[in-house]
Amino acid sequence: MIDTGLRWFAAIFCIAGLTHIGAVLLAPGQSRDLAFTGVDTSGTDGRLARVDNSNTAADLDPAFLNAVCRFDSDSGPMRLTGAMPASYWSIAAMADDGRILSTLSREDLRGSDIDLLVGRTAALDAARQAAGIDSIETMSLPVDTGFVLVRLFAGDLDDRSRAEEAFDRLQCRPALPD
Amino acid sequence: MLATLRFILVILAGILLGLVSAWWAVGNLRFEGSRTIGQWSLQNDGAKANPYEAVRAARRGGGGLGPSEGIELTTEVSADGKPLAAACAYLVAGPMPQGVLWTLTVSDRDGRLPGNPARRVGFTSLDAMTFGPARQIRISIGRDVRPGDFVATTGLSSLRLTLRLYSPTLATRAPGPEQLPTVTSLGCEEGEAS
Repeated sequence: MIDTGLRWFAAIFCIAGLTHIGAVLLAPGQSRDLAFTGVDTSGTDGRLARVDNSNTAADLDPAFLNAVCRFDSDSGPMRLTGAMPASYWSIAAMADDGRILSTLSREDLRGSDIDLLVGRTAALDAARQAAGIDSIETMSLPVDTGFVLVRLFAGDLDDRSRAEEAFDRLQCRPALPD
Repeated sequence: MLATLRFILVILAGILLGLVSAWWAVGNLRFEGSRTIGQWSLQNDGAKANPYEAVRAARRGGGGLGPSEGIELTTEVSADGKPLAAACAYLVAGPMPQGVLWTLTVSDRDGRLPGNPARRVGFTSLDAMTFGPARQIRISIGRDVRPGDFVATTGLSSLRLTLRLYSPTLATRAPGPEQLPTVTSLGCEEGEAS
């Protein structure tokens, strides 16, 4: 009787352990608030889509203006180009579940002009050759799909209008020609 | 028949226990793997080392800072270890790392921002008043307006403070507790614990 009870008890704990591990490992991919997957990036015509707490559940700094550009296996590597104002800005490549894969800030690029190639490691060289680009900053990622998030400090009204103008001029297009 | 029923019960009990324990482990602050600096917890959305941190990052919805950008610190407790309450007033006072762009944001635990007429949800290194040679800050938070730098917590049911320090140097070498401000209670409305 005791043996049987212990056996059932052990079985409950084994199943509970497996469920616990499975739930923790699967939860990030199944979260209903997946970073920027709900943001409509269609029809932006190469421009970045602005994100704030009205269209994403991502925990973004309200002192910054934020915009995203989606990349996936269909579009291949993306090329981000534009000029940024003198205030602080940074670029983060994120997986669909919001995990940060790679980041760059103004100090890393040492200037206000951005010309950046973002994509899976294996596809970057091919894109560089196909587009005839010799020297360009790259963000080499382990995934095919995700988002590039650009953050730009917009502390006061002057900063905010400059930031909005800069975002309007930023371009994010597939690096490979159609 | 009894054996089949017992088998189903064991499976259901195991799954239930597994889900409850996962939910509890992810939500319990005592098991938070993130590093603490004084009363501040260092958030890490890279979450490479710990699957529980990956779940917490997913629950926050992403958007945290990467190593080239800086660090993100949050607190939901006051300096004496009591949970922050939206009905109470607090003073965030002390030093900030020098020469670093920082922002302090007031929100609830789900990241919702307060809805006050001034549309003030926090302060930054560019607009906060500083005092003394150490350029210490003094920011009040609460429902009733206070003199000096003040953020109204109107519409919040819980309270979380997020301090973001934009400096890759600090990402590799985090500041010590003596370089960060503390959050102390200034009292609570009637009926709320202070």
